[in-house]
Amino acid sequence: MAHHMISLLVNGQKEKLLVPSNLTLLHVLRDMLGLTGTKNGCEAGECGACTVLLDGEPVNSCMVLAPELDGREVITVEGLAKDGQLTPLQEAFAELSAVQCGYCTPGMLMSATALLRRKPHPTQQDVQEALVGNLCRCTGYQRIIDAVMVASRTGGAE
Amino acid sequence: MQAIGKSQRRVDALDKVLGRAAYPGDLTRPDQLHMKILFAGRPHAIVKEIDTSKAAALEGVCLILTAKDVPCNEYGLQIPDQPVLCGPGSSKPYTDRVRFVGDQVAAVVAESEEIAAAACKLIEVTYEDLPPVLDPFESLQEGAFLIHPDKDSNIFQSYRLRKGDLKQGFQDADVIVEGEYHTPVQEHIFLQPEAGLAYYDEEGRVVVAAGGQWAHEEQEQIAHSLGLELDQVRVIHPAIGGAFGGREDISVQIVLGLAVLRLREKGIDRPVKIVWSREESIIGHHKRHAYHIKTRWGATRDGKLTAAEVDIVADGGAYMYTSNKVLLNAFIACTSVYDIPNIKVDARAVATNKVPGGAFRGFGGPQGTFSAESQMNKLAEELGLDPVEFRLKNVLHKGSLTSVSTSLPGIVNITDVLERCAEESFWEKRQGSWEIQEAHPEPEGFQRGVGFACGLKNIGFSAGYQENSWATVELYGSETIEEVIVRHAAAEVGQGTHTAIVQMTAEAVGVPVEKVRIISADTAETRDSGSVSASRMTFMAGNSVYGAAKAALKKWEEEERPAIATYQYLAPKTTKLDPDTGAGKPNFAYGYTAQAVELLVDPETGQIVVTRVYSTHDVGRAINPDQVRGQIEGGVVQALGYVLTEKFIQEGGYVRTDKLSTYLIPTVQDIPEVLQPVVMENPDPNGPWGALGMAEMPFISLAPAVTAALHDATGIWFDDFPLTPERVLRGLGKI
Amino acid sequence: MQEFDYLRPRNVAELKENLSQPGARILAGGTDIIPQLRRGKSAPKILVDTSGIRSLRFIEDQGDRVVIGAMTTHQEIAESQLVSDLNPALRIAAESVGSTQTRCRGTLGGNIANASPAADTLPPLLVYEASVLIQNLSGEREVPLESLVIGPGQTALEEGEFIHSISFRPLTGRWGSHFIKVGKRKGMAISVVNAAATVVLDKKGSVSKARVALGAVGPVVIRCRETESSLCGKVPDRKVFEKAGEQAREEVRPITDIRSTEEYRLHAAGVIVARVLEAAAEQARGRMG
Repeated sequence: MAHHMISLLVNGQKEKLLVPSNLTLLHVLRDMLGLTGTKNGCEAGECGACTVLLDGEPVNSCMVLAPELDGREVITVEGLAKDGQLTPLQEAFAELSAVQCGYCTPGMLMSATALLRRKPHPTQQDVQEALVGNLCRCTGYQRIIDAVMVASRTGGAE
Repeated sequence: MQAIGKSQRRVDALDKVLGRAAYPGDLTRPDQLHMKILFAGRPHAIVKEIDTSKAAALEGVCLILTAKDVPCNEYGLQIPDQPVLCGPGSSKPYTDRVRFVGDQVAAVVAESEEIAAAACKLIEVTYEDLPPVLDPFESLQEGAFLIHPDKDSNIFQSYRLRKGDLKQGFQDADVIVEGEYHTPVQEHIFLQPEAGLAYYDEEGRVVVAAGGQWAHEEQEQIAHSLGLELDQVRVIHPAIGGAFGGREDISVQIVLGLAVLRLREKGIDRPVKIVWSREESIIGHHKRHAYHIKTRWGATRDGKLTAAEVDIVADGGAYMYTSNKVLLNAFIACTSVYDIPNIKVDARAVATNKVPGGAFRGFGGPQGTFSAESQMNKLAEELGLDPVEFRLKNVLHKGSLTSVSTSLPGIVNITDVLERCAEESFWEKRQGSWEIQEAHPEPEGFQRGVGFACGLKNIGFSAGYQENSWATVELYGSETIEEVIVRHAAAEVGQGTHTAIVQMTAEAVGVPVEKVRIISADTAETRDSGSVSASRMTFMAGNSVYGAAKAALKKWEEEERPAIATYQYLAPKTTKLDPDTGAGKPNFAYGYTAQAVELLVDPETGQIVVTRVYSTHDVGRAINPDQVRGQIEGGVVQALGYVLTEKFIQEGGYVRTDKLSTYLIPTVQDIPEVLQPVVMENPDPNGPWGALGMAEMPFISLAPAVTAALHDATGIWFDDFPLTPERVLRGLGKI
Repeated sequence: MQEFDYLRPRNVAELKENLSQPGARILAGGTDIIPQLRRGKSAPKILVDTSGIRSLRFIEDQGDRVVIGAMTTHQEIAESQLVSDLNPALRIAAESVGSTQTRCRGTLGGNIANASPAADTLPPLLVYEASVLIQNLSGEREVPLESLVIGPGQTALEEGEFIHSISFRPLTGRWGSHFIKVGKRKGMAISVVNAAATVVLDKKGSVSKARVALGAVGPVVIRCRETESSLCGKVPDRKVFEKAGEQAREEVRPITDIRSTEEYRLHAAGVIVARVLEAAAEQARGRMG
């Protein structure tokens, strides 16, 4: 099968990888780079657990083929905190019990990060629109919305 | 109280927001192999032959497991009635059958998941199809095809209750309401599909690291099927991505253990990993049972209940799982929180060739409660009484006899819970009686309605099981206690039990929470805690930690360093129910709950918007108030999915809704504008610091509260759900 | 996922070359094709990824027509002021597709080529009588969108052809356009029925032109022409639109499937046709002629 050599930035780090054409970004991250913070929930773009930022946009990494990544930039949940310093979003998720089982959390954080970068002071409705592709079965969502709203007041995405 | 009653940050919060928490699918070990399961994909058949030769010839395939490879080819939480792998040549009779689409026929271990998947497709299985038994009522008939031929009938379990004089009860009634209720199957959709990793540890034990709810029980089931001693098997719980009852039964654990066992026999000492896809998860694990309940209740003109007759049929699916225990809960819930002098209940859980029914938050409670509370709402309407007032005339008090002819344990404050919910929501007390407040005007095109329901749910295992939980507390330091380690096996499935255990340990020892560390999730490191189910863990773990801390502190005072004590908490005894009358004392604690719902319905499209929910619970004491509220919010939204959108479709025994785009759980845009948890704290005499369990309670009575609100809005009773737009329009006679 | 060769043309010329190879199939945003590949429902030999072709990603006002490049994402359409001003129905539809994640990937060209009977962007384009510019190695042709989609998952695209862009003529005068979908939950709703309408009013306030399209009520998204003509000259009010809804039910042949039933779709189609017309007329009334 055709393999492709790709160069990409993942969480600021340059990666050069030989990838088969039918591999998705999700598996590049989890299996090739060991970045297991990005979760696999359905591999059909229906749950959002694998959300990452691709050139700043939130995408389901299960829906992006690896060869497309040449020259692109990917940020995953592992790339949020800098030098152990949580982002205001991570801080708010932890503080407000917006986390239960935690499996949706990385994807939620990535969608919320994209929102706050685009719109630093969202309304509750904006938050709901931005997170609609991220399913959560534990929390009932309210605490997640609250955490994003709090983070938007305490410093935004970074 | 220095450590409990505070919204302590979760002990796993940091790992989870950093993406560091390792779930089963995140575990890897060097040189690992990959497993793929060949599922039956048909509802009922005899496996005549399995030809694995082509699959085995595929490069990269290391091992193919079939029935003949399983030392003891049976397992099950309640009874071992399910083959580990279905097929000929195994050690147990009738294990050559597949009884639902998710039965496992073979497991392939290969160098990669792709190779294992390709090999599965090359396995040639010859089936002789059997007629699928799909209707539980047909399954009940004499002469029905026996799904388990070694049994006398397809009935997994039945219960019978006779209290008072039913005939007299209905003669005393001025009003009689009959109802027939159908509750649907529900799929858990925990976000993390089943996965696991198995390997041998340094001490020669088969280690299975996978999500679960009761490590020691999983250890026992693996050991049983593998023909190993208990101490030759070790179960580790990594981070677990939700459970809700859906991980109470075995999924990947036994086949994983079996694979490393057989590989080692072949001289291959490599770990084996499996990750189920979402589709595999949806067909591969059990569901909330569908229930069919026919019932008739009588009351006097002045609003006193006189009689209730209930007939319950639960669709158990292919294997027992926990059908027997779920049925017991429905059996108790089917008369809800009311003092009814004359009751007759007959309940059966029946086998069919569908995905098995099993544990799911509420565990039979929501099904029984739906029928009971719908009956109450209908009777209130018939009698022209306010639904809250009517309930208050009939609720059980301390000392009243329940349906099982004994009184309720602990504090019985059902009245307070109901009144609090009424007051917080849409009711007000005028001249001593409760009335619905003036309605808000509804937006154009919508009809508005409000509804009320309540219920109870047991805490802990029932009916004669000696409830118990072990804990070890270790105190380190010289002059003062510098570090505390608590060992407790409670599975952290997201509910926050580890955080609560740390808080309770800190409280019991008298140190700040920062000094306490929990060691958990490993049968080699902890003793049996029992399952995280039945809303039991805070209650059971708290009591065991309290006992262990007390004993450790005594040793500390006696200058032992470190001071280590292990303690087993035994909960108050319960009894089995009398097989003829149902009389007995099945539970040692209950949680009470009342819920009020407001909704808007578009009568032309049938779409429902639930706008406000008030969910009221007496939790005894909130060990961690934020986590308690989180359980209520999560439970209510999960229950809203159950009643509104989650339609699990099985046709001819085949699952049609195996994707998240066809099985629809609530999204962040589907939550109510107002979801108000109302938490009451009246300490339970046996609960740790008074705490009761509460995680299932928000689920118990929401469905009947929603249908009551829909009735208020439309004048129509809906006795089945989910209330999809089609269902609503059919109810309204529009289609 | 099965194996395939992957090509990533940088421009339209390369795309034409790549697509002329046998067994080649376009990968646009991937939101439909990647799940299909995973489930083995599609088995192309070559996937031609068009996501790198910047020149297919644009929204332009070319005076008499609005032109949208095939690789424009739903998110870009949802955020476009131009689309919002000139085809509000399309903006609402694009905004309602899936989630932010799928809108950031899914493209207009992909939505059309995928030819789902429930595709949300199709009704708003049909009521604007959009046409599609199709190219291949040997040239190009422009066809009405309505004739391009011929069945569920089927288009009239020939081997080697691809959608370059979609264009429509903005409405003039006192006009309004709207889109409504009925799903089974609010978030990430897949249409059980969807509808778009345009209404143009004359000086007296009567309907001079109306167009209605319905999705998920037949093998393809359809225009309800009898409903449209029945509205001509009518003074718009609720009664008129409710009657139009009833008329629209006569023009559709919905089926029962996993998402809904024939009966429900038929009923809901009439309801949303009335509502979408009413909303479009309301908009038109508010517009200075």
